[in-house]
Amino acid sequence: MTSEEAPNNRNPLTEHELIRGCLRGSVQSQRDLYERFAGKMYAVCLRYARTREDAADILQEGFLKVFSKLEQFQFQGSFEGWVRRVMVNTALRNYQKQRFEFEQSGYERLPETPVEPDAVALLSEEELLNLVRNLPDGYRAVFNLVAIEGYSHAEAAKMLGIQESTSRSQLTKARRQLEDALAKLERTPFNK
Amino acid sequence: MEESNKSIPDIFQQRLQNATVPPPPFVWPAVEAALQARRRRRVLWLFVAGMAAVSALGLLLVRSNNPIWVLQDEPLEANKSKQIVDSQFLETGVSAPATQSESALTSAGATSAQVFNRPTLPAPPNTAQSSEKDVFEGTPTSGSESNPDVQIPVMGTEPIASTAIPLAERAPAVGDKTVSTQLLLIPSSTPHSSNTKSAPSTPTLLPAANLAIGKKQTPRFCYDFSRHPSAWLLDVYVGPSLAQGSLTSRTEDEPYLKQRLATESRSVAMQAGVRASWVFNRNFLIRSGLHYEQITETFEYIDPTSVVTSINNIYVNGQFLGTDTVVTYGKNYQKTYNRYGLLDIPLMLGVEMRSGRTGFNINAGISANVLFLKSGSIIDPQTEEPMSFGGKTPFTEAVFRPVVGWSTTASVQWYWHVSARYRVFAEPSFRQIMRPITSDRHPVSQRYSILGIRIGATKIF
Repeated sequence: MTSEEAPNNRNPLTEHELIRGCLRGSVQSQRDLYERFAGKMYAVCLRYARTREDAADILQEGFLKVFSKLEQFQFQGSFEGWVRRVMVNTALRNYQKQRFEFEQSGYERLPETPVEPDAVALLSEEELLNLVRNLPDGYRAVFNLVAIEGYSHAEAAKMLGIQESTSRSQLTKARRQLEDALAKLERTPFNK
Repeated sequence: MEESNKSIPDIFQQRLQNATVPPPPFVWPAVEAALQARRRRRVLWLFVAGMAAVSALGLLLVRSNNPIWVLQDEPLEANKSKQIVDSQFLETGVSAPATQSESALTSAGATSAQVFNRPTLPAPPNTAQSSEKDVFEGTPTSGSESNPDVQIPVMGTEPIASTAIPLAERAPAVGDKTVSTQLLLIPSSTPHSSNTKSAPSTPTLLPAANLAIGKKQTPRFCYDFSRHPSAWLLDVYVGPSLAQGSLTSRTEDEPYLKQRLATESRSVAMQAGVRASWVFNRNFLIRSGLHYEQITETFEYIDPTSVVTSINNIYVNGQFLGTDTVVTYGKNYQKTYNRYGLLDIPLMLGVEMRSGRTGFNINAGISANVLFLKSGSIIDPQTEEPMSFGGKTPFTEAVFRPVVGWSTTASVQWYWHVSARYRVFAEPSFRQIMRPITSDRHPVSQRYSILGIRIGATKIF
């Protein structure tokens, strides 16, 4: 069942009621909780994973952790934020298990290419996610954590086990690679 | 222009931070299956821990309450001598008592006697060495030096003739809870008195029975595995069980899974069986037999969109007046019981621990299903209507496997000897059917794990 078909809008239960239902072991509550957050979390996983299959694995493992650690949620703050953090941590563990020893560095030398925001606006979210997914592992992880999730370089470096300077340089490289990819899309006949 | 200065990270953050992408449909079933597997593992561990705790508690209680008395459950016959000894004598380090000699009994003309088996004690220096043993009634006991909890008969210091004597009163029958405290007089002129080094010249009083008068002694009856390390056991049992079923979708046909989930619910289950066990090396068992398990579920179906319209002609005094149209909604209601009967041949290995009259054994193994009976109704995936199954109909064969295949099984049995060769037991058990009972072609995978308790009896051959 996709998130568009999920009966989230018709589910009268509040988030807290769903959480309490899950803590009681209610299978229906678990399912409703999954359907409420799976769409957004899958998008998060797609940003971190190298492939769609990896993203599905991260999503599955992430939700298992959400259900098994649910009692740790203190009902303070945003539950979506808590779930997102669990998902990001799961994604990072997957990244650390799979990361290449040698990063691609070919894109470093390309000059900065200004990008028209209109070009970006023409792209769907799926296409933007594809662009992010095409980044090398290290660039992608830093870009996601710093640029999209909003962590500082110090926090991102700690989470990834790298130096803060490495985090900064990888963000720069990620940015340039995305600019190049967007510029290439601009030059396609579709965009002309 | 301001927008053109917007950086790439900002643009991506703006567009992607709250993006939503539909996840693949197979993710939730995988999450649900993993959660169910965790739940089952948790239940199994709790079950094993509970059984271990109950068994340990039972052993503790038995050890603290059991006196060390053993009674022979059958009187000695003239042509037979049976050696039934409390194995705990051996377990506590005390050597097994020697056999009572038949000739001593028959020559003394004893008609019936209780034989108290006592451990062999080192003979005092002036005690005659004789191959024949004494017959006592109400043998006194005292604590042994090695194990204060073990009560052993105490021999008198005077040499005692090894000839049985007629008792003034008939000995209590086997199984009597009271023991007489009569003193015995042993005549000095016995056939074997010449063998004694120092025969007493006067009648010797045997020590009085050191038993609480009026307090019933609970005899324990145990099979002597120490002397008979191998034996056959036959179990018969029956009991209730709880079958935990799960339905998961094999395809993306989630609406059909929901229909099945909505129409089927767990009801009751039971198990029964006959089992033969071979005990070897005192403590190990191989068990097999026939085990039958029946799972019953309720199928309840109501179609709210079902509309039945009936038109009734109305007559008054034979004259047709008109018609009455009756529209009934939701008439298509069905309730039936789905029954799944499984006949299996188990093969289990076990280890048994004993403490006198009681003990427990832990068993684990596999079982092979030889017969799978099914009857009932489920929703047909093609028509989405209730469809009966049972026997060898095409629908049944399309939905269910002919046999369910292998299962893994484990149990912990706590038993209690009612006599040396009979015991009763309670045996919590767990069984996991490894494969779904539905065929691979059916869109829903239907699995079971079963928790049960067997109450039964065992005969030792």
